Amino acid sequence: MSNIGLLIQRYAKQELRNSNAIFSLGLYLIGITYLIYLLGGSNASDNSWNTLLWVVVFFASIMQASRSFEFESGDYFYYYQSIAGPKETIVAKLIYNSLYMLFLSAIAWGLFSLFYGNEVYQPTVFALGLGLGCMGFSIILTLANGIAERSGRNATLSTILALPLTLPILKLVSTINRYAMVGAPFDETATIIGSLVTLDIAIGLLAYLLFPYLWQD
Amino acid sequence: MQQTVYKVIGVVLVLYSLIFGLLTSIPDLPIIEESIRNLFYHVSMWFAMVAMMAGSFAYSIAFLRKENLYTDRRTAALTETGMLFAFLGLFTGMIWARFTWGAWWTNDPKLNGSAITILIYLAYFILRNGIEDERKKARISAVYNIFAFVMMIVFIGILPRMTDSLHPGNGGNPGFNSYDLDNRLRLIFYPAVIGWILIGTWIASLRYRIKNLSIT
Amino acid sequence: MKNLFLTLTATAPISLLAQSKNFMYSEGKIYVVIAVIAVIFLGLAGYLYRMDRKISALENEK
Repeated sequence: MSNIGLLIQRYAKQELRNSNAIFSLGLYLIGITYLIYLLGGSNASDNSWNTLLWVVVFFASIMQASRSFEFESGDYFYYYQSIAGPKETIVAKLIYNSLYMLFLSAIAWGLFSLFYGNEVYQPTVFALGLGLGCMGFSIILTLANGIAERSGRNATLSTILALPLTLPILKLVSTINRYAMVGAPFDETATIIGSLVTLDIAIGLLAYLLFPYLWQD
Repeated sequence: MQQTVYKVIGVVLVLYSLIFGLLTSIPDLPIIEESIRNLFYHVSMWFAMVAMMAGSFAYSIAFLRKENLYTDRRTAALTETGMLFAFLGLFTGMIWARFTWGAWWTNDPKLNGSAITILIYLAYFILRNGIEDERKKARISAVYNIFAFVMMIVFIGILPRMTDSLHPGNGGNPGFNSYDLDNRLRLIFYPAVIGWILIGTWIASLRYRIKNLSIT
Repeated sequence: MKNLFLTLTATAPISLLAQSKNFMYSEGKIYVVIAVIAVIFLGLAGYLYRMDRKISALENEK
């Protein structure tokens, strides 16, 4: 367990050392949000607010996840293999990526509120939706990037692999957020949240079990 | 011809569904009318696809447990056959939709699920093509296949139940659902599904034999 | 069923000429079923054709 914590700290340190990445992601978020604002004007219906937020978060997540394995490519792979086993590596990366994506989505939420106002009736439910969605994205994107990295052709392969797989999560999560914005009764939202939680647990377990097969040579 | 029995049974069952599917009397349904018979043909395609993908899922797991290139070829063959059924199901579904719902495509969860499934498995083939080394190709695509199958089941099984839909049986449509499917229709539908699954197995076995021949 | 068979053979050509726009909707949309069956069969036939050519290519290699 402590190994995982150490790994996460290490990833965080690497990220901070190379601050280029964080700034470009931040700039991306600001830029895209402003672009949408310029094109669409300050009136955004609930639906489009939600949709656009998720599109922005989704693509930011893809960008972030595509860098998950850049330190383990090529010869560094063997070095990392000696430090940490596959199961610890994948858990650490999943947690790290989820937190990072949650951070990005929170910033996106903030930016959207800045430009369009924040009309979310149930912010806790909204945040829960964001969190579960980011967990799901992280699991799928990390696994897809692991696959792409081991197959040698990184550039678009990870996106092709991940995109169809993330669509169920996007669908569920945008429904939760829509309900949270409108203030729907909690029992309706609860069923969807329940399905999303089970989905996240299922794919998390799958990723945890399958990753060792990728991590060997 | 090897293993003739299941192939003959498959042909007989599908033939039965073709002949008696057109001859049987059907319940009185508004809008759908006679085209409810597509149950035996269009829907069978999707059931056959899921069966093929389930087979490739099983072989993927088998490969990860014991690496054997023949197992991987079976996985690939079954997935290819599954894609065949998926495309057939997709096109026949579009035809059926055009003349009952009025449009070639709608924003319906089952349609979304089928489109996503096709995308997911197309990505599988792109992945396979991108890796040269056979063992590595087999291992990595097995990992993806397992993940893909689980997501497919989620998307076509669980999500449609949560929302309204134009599909018969979901969201208050006239038609059928699994609980009050007319017995006359069931009598043709179940054998049709089994027959198509057997035909699919036959096609997959042929593709498997082709792969064996083209490697050696 | 006998009725359907008779009406199909007798009225099909007539409805074809008269209102081809409503053709697919006629006879209780049975033609939709026929179209579906035709697509499935042609799809399978095409697939067989492709496989046959692939096998021929493999055989010619040897």
